[in-house]
Amino acid sequence: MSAREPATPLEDARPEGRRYPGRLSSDPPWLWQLLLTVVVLPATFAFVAGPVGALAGLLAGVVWYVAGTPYAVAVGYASLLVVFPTGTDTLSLALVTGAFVVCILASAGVTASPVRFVVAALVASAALVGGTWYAATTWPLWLAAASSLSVFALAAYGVHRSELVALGLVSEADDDTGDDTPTDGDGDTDTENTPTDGDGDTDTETRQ
Amino acid sequence: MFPTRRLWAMLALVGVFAALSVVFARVELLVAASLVGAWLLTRQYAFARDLQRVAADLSVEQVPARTDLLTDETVPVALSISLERPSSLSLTVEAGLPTAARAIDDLSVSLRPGMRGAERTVDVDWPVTGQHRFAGASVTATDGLFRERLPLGSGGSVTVDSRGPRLVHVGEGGSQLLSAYGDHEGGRRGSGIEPAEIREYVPGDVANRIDWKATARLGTPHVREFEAETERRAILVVDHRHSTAVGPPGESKLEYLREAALAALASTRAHGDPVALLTVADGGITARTDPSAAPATYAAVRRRLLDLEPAPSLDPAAPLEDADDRFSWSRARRRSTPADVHRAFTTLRGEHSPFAATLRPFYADRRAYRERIESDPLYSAVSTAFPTSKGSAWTLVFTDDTRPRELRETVKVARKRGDQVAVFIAPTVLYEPGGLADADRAYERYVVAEELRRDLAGLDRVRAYEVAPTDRLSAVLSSRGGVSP
Repeated sequence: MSAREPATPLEDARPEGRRYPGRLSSDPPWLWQLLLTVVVLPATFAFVAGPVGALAGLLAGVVWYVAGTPYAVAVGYASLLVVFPTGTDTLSLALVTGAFVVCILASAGVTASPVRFVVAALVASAALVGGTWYAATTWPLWLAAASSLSVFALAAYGVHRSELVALGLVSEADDDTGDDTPTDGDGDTDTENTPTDGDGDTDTETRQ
Repeated sequence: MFPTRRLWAMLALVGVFAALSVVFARVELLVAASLVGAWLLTRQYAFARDLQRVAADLSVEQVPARTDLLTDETVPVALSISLERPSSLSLTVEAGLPTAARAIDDLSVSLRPGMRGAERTVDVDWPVTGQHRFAGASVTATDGLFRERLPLGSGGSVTVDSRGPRLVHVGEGGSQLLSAYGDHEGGRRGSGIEPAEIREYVPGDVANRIDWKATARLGTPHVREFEAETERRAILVVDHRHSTAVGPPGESKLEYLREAALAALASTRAHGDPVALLTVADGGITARTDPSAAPATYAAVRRRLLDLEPAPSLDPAAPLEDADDRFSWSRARRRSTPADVHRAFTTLRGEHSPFAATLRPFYADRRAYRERIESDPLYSAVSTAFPTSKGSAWTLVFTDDTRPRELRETVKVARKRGDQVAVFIAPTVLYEPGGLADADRAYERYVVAEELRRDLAGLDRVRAYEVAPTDRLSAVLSSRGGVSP
């Protein structure tokens, strides 16, 4: 096999076939996409808010198909503000959230470990959404929002660090808590022993 | 793990929805932000898992076509990657080329999701001499939201040798010469610091030359003699006509002749003898340095030798060597010389006998031969350069065997000044690419070159050596059991 064409920029790498900007290489197969777009989201919204809700659900489904889950979530919940100007009841909110969790789970089939993916998605959804709901009903909304964002940031950083450790990408400098950089006695850093990465460049990359 | 622009957009969405939930006091927007956050966490986890699988499944090979190269050589380097199982990640693998290598094109391969292998070969220049080790390849993986870069695999090393002569043979008939230029016997006594002998005092010796210790020891007056300090000028004549360009890049005849000339120069300098340089191209003398033992002269001569390049041919259509001239050498060398011809022609011109009238046209033709030789650049340069040189001198001629008659006449004219002559000859057969393909033919051609060398070495006060690549000379000699002709 020979690939003599220039390398494709990775951030532009998209799955073959449909080339919508929000789609990812691990998006669910077309049957799931059809079901979610035409059936699950419109039906859920219709059950919650009637014909107007069905339209909102269809809109969310189309946005999900074109742009991906985050934007579908944004459109879906924003439409709830229109459909329920005075506030959404708990059951309706739970149903709509459940429909979007199904959207998240739809990608499990194309991942290497579907079970792990489902478990991770359920745990993350339950923890974040459940925690947010609990905080919103217990604390002031601003405090609940700050708490939710903090928990999300901490969880993301935890996954990031565990990935670095699993792949052996943590440099030794990260492991050392003390500053044992060699000095020549007058406080200057001894740069002669600065480790290099083999290609002549000073290895200054530090993973946070 | 680094975020892509799309991930930043989604993180902004989370932040905006959280802020709007506070602004509008609507918990639905905060739930939406949490749900997007959960989705991002799930994708992040899936990316980390996929990346670990890729790191375990991916094998990367960086293979140069050859590992022993010469400077400035271009060698293809193949980068191939393969995955045991297809992945949902997009991968780009960049080769860990050594810093000193220059790839003609970007040496990287991309693997789209679902693909299991790819390969790419790119020509790489190696301009720096030394051993160069490949670094590990750099793998960049992304799922569109997250991006990670990790080193993977390792490469071998490439050894780059400099071009130019590596094993230079200077010798006679395949035997290596140990020293061509060294101490020389002055044969005279005089003032100096090297004691020569002690002899008995004879009337006429000045009193201050009496060695009183020897006189006391031997009982009669004795005088101590010293070796007279002498110096011998070395005139380096280097032929860089277009015929010396024969040979692979960096290993032409001129490159080997240059090495021999540099060695002679170094030896001259070690002995503190004056040195002169004469370089000759097809158009005549291209550089001339007067004899001097000044350090600046040594440096100038060395610099000139290092800068020497084969001169372009004045007649590009002309063959590099005159085959008739070369292969009739054995017969030609037994004939009369231009000096003989000139002398006979002058004698005949003064006679009016029928015998002289019969012979005169033949000698007139031979006179044309003499004029042709005189027009040859090497002969002309040696005969006209340094005409006033007096005293002990050694002319060292560095040339090839493409013009044997001219070389013979050149050596003789150099010898006429009463000098010693050393000739360093580069046999063409040992430099021609493909010249050794036919072993028997190569040996025969080497024998012709060796005959020329021996013929020159047979002249009085002349020594002749061959300058050749050791490996190629050994190959020619080994075709006949390693016996010199």
